[in-house]
Amino acid sequence: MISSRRILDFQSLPPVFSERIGNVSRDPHVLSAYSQDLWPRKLLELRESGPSSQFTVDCVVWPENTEALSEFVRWAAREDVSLYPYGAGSGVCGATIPGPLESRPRVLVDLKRMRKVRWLDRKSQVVCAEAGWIGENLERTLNQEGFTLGHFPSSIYCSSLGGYLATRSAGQLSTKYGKIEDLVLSIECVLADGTTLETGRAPRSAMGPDWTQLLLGSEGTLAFFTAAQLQVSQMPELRVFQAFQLEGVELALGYARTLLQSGLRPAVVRIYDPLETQLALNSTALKTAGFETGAVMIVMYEGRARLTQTEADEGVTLADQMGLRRLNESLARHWWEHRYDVSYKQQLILSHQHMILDTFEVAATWGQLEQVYHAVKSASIGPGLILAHFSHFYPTGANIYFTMVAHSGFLRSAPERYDEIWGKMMAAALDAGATLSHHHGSGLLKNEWIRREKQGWIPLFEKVKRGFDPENRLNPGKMGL
Amino acid sequence: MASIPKIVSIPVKWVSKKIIHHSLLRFPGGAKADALACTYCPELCRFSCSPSVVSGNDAVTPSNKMGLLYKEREWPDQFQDVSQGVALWPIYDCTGCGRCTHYCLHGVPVAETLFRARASHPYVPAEELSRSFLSEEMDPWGELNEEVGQKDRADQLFAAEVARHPAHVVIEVDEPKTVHYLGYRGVSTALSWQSVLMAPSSDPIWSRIQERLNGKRWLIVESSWLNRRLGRSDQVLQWVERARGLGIDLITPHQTGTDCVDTGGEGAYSWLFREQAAQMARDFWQRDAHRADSLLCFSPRIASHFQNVFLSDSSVVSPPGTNRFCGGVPAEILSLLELAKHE
Repeated sequence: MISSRRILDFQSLPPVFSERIGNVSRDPHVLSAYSQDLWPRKLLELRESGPSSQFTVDCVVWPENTEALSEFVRWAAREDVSLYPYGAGSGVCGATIPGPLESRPRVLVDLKRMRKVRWLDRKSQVVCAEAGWIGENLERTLNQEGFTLGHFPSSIYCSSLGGYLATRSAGQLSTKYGKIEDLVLSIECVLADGTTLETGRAPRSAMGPDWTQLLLGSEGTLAFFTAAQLQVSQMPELRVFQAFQLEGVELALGYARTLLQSGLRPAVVRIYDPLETQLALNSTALKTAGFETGAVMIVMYEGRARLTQTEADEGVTLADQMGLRRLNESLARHWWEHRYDVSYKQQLILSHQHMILDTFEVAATWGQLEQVYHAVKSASIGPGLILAHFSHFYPTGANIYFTMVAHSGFLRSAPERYDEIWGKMMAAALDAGATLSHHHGSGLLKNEWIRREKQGWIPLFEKVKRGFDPENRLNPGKMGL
Repeated sequence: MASIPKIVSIPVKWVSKKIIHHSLLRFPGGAKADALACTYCPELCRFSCSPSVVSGNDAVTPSNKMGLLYKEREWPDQFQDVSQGVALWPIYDCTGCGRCTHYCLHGVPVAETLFRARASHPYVPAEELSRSFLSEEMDPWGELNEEVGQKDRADQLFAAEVARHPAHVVIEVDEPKTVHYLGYRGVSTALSWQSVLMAPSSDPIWSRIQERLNGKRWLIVESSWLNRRLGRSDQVLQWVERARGLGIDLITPHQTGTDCVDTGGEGAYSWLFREQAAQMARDFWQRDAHRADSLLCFSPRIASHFQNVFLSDSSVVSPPGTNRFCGGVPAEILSLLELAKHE
């Protein structure tokens, strides 16, 4: 179906872009594929109503390098079109989906063809990689050079480096290696006028504010990210797995806090609350490990062999002092071997009529963490369950990853119920002192809520946005604007 | 008293988990579940799909291809409206390597489903290719026609053609973007790939292989598509082990080892999606070729694909007995072939 938006003049495209070359497309199958990401609300709409002929974008382009992108952005400025950066399309908040109010032609810029490793500085342990790398492919490439990025989001098979930067992504080993913002030295970006800039040149700088940290997490509203300099680590020599059983999450959180505040840096710390332990963990693995009841905690240390073993031993000493019951390490190994499975299994539920499923990842300081946990767990969502685990830890706090499974009822539409449940969960978390996203980002899902959480900062961010993008051309209508 | 709740709660929990596992944690729809599963799946297979990696196009991810089939079946009227009469070309944008099936957590036979779907979803360029494969010029004795039948599509025809062609190819690389074939004579023109692959370590052929390959580092370039099609994946792996055991310096490609190589020369892909296929070869070249002195493969089609991508050499001619499936061989190789005939 033809949209009511102005038809683009393709004759004026820069010569490096054309449908014949294959880096521009208006094919309906392409537009359809790019009209959604993995925001569960879109999947619910598909399940309830079938495919929509109203594509949310008018055109998709695939620049192959920074120069081509820069040229295209200049063209977009001349033609007055809005631009939407796109990585692997696995975002779960609708960050790449244009808002309904945007009336200019909408061009989605897919960066996945930008997938070179530009250089690897072995001495500094820094890699410069382009934004279009799929996480798994980048990790494999680094492994063959003896390094790891240390960034393992459960979406690693279907997410891109650019997406990690745009959403301040976290990997499963973030407690040791840090979130993506801890791994970035510099970002190369293309601004709304086509200018190309790099944000940094050293691990730290006191030459004014940190532009890298300003741009990270801006979800394409301030600039396109085309490449990044990232810290890499040597491949670990040893991994030590541990598992514990605890009566409730409180003791487990106390142990995790002790580990982190003692200076230990396990690569993985995961605490599953009793309900998630029962429903999400493999029952055979639990039984084999000697689990009886309560919550489960999984810990893994990795790195240089002797150092890692010392850290792991110290962790056990602390656990013994706190009275934790040790389980067989096979449980932790089982998790490691199946660590990417769970997000794929969740989709099984979403495919059933009337069922709703989504995940909600918040963060809080140790002082507020338990309060946030209990507030969201007790949110009144009607027929449904809220499961929780804690998976990213800091000396000052941690994140909580809630999984919500609910039934829409037979009288209301699933998307409507979905919105209502999200409203209740976010209100509960915000009131209890959490930030409403730890690593998924904001997107359309939390566009209203970022205004509530950031309140006084939104007018200032509007000014920042106008400075970067005076015509509001880059991913308009996001980040609470 | 404390034990009473447990007497109730333990069986209740057990029953609840059984219900969940047998209902919610399975895709509804029975036989129809495959395409449904992929429609909702966050694509564990995406990273392994060469066409989607090389094109960066989300319309050609395995998940989206399966999603197209699902939408077309579940909402035929709406789907027609969406696709505006455009053929389901994304399901042809596939080298057929089968890794989407291999990596699927749910055990969905993605590649096989897509192969089947192609037979009932015509795509004009593929149809034309099939017709040319079955033409009198290409298949003068009707062998292909007899073997795979008129109804089969381009990739099936191609597999049949390659399977009947004996060859063993060694490619010499002396500088980037320059390919020299030392030709089908690498080991012996008299032996088919089956003979070379299946020869045990004690077979005299290995002394000739050693003689030919020793002194250099070789990168094995194999088509996972072709190996699966011809049922020789295990044979190739065993051959690599045997060669290494005999001291031949043989390395496998980055990323996924022997069973990974998509150079774009697989199946009908390089005809239907030329630019992407060429890019695949360039990517392979940049990623892997510099690590070895020479390339080694069992598929002449891979060799000719490299040739098409990297050489625009007008001196390339087709030797007698080859056809367009195998491409041409540089003129200097012809003399070697001629020599081989007289050995």
